[in-house]
Amino acid sequence: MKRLFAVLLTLLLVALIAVPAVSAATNTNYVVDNGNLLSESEISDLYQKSLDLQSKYDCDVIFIAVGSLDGKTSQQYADERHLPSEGYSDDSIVFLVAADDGHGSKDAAVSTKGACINRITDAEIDRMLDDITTAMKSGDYYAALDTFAADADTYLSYDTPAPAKGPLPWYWIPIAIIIGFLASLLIMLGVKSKLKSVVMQRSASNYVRQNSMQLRQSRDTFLYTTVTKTAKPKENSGSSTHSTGGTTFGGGSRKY
Amino acid sequence: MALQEYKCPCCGGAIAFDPNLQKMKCPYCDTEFEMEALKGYDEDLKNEGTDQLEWHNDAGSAWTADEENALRSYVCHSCGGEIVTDLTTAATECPYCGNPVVMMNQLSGSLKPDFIIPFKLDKEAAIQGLKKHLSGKFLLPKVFKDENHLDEIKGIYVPFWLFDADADADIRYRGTRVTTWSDANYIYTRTSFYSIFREGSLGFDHVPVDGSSKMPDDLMESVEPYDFSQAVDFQTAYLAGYLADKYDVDAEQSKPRANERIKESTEDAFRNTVSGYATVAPESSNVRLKSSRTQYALYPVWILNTTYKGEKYLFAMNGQTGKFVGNLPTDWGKFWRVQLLLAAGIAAVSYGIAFLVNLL
Repeated sequence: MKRLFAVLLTLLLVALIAVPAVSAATNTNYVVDNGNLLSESEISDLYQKSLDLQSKYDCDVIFIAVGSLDGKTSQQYADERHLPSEGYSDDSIVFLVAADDGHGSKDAAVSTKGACINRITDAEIDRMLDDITTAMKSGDYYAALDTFAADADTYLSYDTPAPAKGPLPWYWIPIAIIIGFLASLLIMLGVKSKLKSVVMQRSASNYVRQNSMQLRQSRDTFLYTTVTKTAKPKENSGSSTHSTGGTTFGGGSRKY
Repeated sequence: MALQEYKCPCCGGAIAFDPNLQKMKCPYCDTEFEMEALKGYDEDLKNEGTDQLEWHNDAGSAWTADEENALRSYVCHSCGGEIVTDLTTAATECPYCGNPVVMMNQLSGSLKPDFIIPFKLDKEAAIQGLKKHLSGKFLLPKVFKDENHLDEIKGIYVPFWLFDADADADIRYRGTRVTTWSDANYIYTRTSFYSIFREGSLGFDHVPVDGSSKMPDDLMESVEPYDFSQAVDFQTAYLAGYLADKYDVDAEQSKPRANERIKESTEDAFRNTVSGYATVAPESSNVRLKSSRTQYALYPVWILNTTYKGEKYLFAMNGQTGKFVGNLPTDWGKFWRVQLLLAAGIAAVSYGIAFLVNLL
């Protein structure tokens, strides 16, 4: 009986320790290496970069390197890493690199949550995945995550908050003056032209003999046709989203 | 049998028949053409020629001795203007420059007009016409209206060469039709090129050209149109009370102007028959005149000469229709005052609009 009670207590303690605290969003595990893919110095470098990004842009940035994806897709794996239950802040980005996706390829994914979804657009995620291609192909996972960090720094800096509506900038005054001057000049020149009535006739249209026009030959011949095409400008399309485990995420993934 | 070489309508190179396509294909620009298209284009090219704008010269006739005796000509020594009138009317002032005329000559050495359009409107009507012309002009200096010598309006018969013709025209155009469509990634534009050919004729009657070098041509053309249906055969009696100008630009010299206007009208008329294209550009045009005829006529004009601030102003009114023309001076002081006021107003309004939009 005592033995059973001891086992149960141990199990209870283990369970308590294993379950992370949910209420406080204070998971500071910004670099996760589940496959021994990163060295100590690389981990601390990435950790520092993550803290930098967080202080600059108010987004939690989590770097994850794994040996295998446990049968999940890289997008799913990355999404699950920062579900609300994981304890990161509400606005977070996960950068994931995987050595083996279970089918012999390497894999990488980006997952955005909260406000970060719109701060990194689909086009930007695409480019990020382009940028890590060489690193991934050569298996340099630190370089890939480092590139992710640099790109994130760039793309997060792109959207600045909308400027507060201030007073009308000063340069509107000369612009209004110029508009006034030109518009009134046009009007006055129009009035002035009423003073001029002497002009050479252009043609002899008044002297055409009535009904004298005869059209004897009329031929419209098709010659040839050309087709040109111009590329439509690609607008910044924004971010698409999907849902995993009840939470909306943005992001993208790619195999290498 | 002459060898026929077809030219590519797109780039001008020599086209060859491509047996694989069963079409004509240009080896330089790779454009393909149907056989009929090229044949039609070639026919159009053959019809190209040059303009033929010649006139028969049989205008006017000689004065009889009696007629010559009944008329006097006056010469102005200041500007060289020469006017003709009958014995009963005295010409005291040159209608062109306002100086008193001096010499009186026997009328000789000029043609007798074929036609004349008598004055339909009298001096009163002319003065009314002037008043109406000067009213309602915002930028006309007020002093100008008061300083006019209204009484010195003169009725003059101005000599015109009248040209009748049938114009034959061959005109070739290059036209395009454009359609556009788009899909997700591209915008497509298809441009189809056409060779458009028009051949036909157009008749012209009594195209007038000013035969007096003293009368400014633009003033005389502005006073048009004259309605020839009211013209009558010339008789010296019509000149009584009015002055008449002798022609000093002969028919030969007036022809180019008539040709210009006739060609312009013909091209306009044919251009109007081409429709349904996005763009139309004439590529070649030739106009030939047939059964052309020249005549000499006198048309009635009321003339007023005025000087204002050292500048001469000449006004003219069509003595048949009453159309009044004449360039007027501008009151520059008023122009700039109103201009600045208006500018300030519009500037304030546009600033206000920008301000309101910014608040949104």
